[in-house]
Amino acid sequence: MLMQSTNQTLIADYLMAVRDATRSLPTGKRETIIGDLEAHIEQALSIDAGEAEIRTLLDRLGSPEAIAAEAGANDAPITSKKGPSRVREIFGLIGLSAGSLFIPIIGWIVGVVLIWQSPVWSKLQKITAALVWPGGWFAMLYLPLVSLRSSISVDTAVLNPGVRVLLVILFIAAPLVVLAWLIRTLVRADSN
Amino acid sequence: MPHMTKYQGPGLTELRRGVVEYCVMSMLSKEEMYGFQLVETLASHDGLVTSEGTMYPLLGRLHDAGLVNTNWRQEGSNRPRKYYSLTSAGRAALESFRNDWARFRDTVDKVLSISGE
Repeated sequence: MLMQSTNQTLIADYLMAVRDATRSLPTGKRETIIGDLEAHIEQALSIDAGEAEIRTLLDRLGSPEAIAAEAGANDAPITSKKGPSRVREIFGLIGLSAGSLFIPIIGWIVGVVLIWQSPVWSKLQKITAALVWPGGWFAMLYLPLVSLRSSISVDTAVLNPGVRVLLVILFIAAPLVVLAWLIRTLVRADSN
Repeated sequence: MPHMTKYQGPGLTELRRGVVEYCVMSMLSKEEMYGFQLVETLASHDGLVTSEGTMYPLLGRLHDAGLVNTNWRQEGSNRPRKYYSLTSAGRAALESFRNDWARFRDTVDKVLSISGE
């Protein structure tokens, strides 16, 4: 009788160790493995199995750590698999682009600060984002004023329609290109 | 005198890990098997399985990948048993591995024999 309970303890201890080693797995997956092992043990043992037979069987099943490793329990835990939250980066990009239009100056400053705090982008990208032209999209609000004023005060030959179109394209395209560049880096950082 | 230690890289352990799942699928391609039966059959082949218990998470992985199906069946007075069978995706994966493996094995044999003799 005492023998019987020792044998039961050996098995229970083993299953408990597997349960412990696989605790980072989703419950369903973990219970399936435990159930499979229980069924295996039950089918493998003869009715009058002694301690030696049980020890041999458990030895053949292998270490709980090996089973857990095969089940992927040592892989990165679920929380870090989801990757870091990108709230800062997303608000940074919004601030730099749309934010600078809707909340002039402040929106742009917030965007630049957030982008500079992020570890995702390189120094070069941060500098470019801040300097693409002073004020980011905010400066677009100035654009009509600038071109209007310059067409009055400056020699109009300098700002012929072709040059003005080019300037407008440059002013709109430059922040878009920089924005796309930053977004691409962000997406790549998260897909790795 | 240089200090000699036997190199023990991941070698065979890693190789076994990668290959054994196809051995599982190959056995299931012939007949449905329940877990214990499958594991015992695999273990009867020398050097294929080191820890029998790892076969269950492996089977779970194959199931999640849609390569094997499971269904519970009861025979006589026994407890219901979980039977594994190969899906068509499993058959395709096995077939593709058979070709890859044959080429890989031949190449490794060839390379090893160049320096071995």
